[in-house]
Amino acid sequence: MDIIVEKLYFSYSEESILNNVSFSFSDVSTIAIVGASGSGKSTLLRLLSGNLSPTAGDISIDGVSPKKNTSLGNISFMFQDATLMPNLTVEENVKLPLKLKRNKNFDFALELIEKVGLLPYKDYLPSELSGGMKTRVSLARTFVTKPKLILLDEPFSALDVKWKTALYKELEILRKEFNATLLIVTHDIQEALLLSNNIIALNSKGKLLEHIKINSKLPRVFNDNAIFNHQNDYKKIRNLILEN
Amino acid sequence: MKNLKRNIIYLILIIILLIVWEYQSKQSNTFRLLLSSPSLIWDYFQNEIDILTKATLITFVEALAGLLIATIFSFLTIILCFFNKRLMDYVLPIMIFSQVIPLITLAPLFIIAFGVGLKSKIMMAALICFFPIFVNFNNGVKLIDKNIHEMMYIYGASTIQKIKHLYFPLALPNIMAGLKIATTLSVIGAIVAEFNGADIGLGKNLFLAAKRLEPELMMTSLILSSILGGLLFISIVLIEKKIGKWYTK
Repeated sequence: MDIIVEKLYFSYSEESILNNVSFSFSDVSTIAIVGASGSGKSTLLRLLSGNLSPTAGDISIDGVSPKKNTSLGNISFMFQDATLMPNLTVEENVKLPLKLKRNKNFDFALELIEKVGLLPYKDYLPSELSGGMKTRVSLARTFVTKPKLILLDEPFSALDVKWKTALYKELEILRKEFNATLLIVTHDIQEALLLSNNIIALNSKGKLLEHIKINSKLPRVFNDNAIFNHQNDYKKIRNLILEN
Repeated sequence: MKNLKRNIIYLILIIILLIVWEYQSKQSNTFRLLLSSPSLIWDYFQNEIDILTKATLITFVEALAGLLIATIFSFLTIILCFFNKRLMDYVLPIMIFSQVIPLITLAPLFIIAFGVGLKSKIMMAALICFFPIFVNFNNGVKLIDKNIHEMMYIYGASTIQKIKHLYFPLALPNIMAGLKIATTLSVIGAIVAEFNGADIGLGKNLFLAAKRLEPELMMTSLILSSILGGLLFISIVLIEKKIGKWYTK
């Protein structure tokens, strides 16, 4: 998948959020955008999904606009909270995107629920699930439309280390299986190092600071010294964010 | 167990109230002329059961029809606003402004416009019910999480799909709250319209009871109108329990 962002600006009324952000990726599988709170990471994600339009600049995903990609079903989004429909069961939540897209492949929804280990809970309402289980439902729903690009807005930020470790692995397995490109925004440098091969850092003024490439095999997990192996990258990104 | 205990307490309180009421009416003629007594009311009810039942049914039909019309009309208006978001900017101020007028003062106008039959009472009940249903529905839609709206965008939901999968289900707690308020208002609307001219109905009974100083007629009509409001309210609660399991559980 080719993602090209050119001279991107975005502002809410007078407040400038993103300033002249440019980057391009061709045939990469995982990208992480890191930055402090208020650096415009989530805004950038919403511009990439087509939900917001840039004040100036261009975004192209595989040669077409984000809006077009979204309407074609090429993009999926995983939110900071699980964003489940409270009135629907686990199964109905995962099936919802298919229903909206008039896709009758409901067996695939059940297959995904099984893959994330929630088949025994398929008739449960979100209010009956733990935070980690809700994120798993959200993960299954994200993949149910077989998207080419998955945008993740800090979906694991509220989870403990145990759930995070399990979900990082599940995410990478599903991403590989469906050959999707993953683009995650996070303020957690460690998470970025564990989940992606390409990291771009934004400063607090919404300006792109650096693009860092990580060359080791995914999935990386907490217990395989991933962070230890990438100490220098970690320090570099942390210093970039702190100094800017 | 907790409910049973509470209900027993209520029952005891009602029995005490009836005993005090009966006793007081026997002690004071003024009290009896004003509030009658439980035994006299019961006798009156048994003697006039046919007329009272008919009046209650008429008021019930007026209130229910008004409630249904208000529900349908407010749902249709808000659905139109879903298709054209800017329409709400025009509709809502009109709705709020309409509430400045004390709606019950329109009852005489409705009698003149629609006659003394059922139509004027139904219209009055509908008018009075419209606002709480509409405003509560609109508030429910406003309370839907921003991310859920965004999710609907990501999956390309059409307006019709959003109405079916998003607005109605997630605004349901507010819709039901609006309907609960509207049930009691519908009975008030019908009765107030009946005050201003009706062939039959609980409102007419209340009007005549005050004029003729008939406390038994007044109290039976009062109790029956309370039962009517209560039944409509309970029916909404039962519907809510059936369709809103996800939040009433």
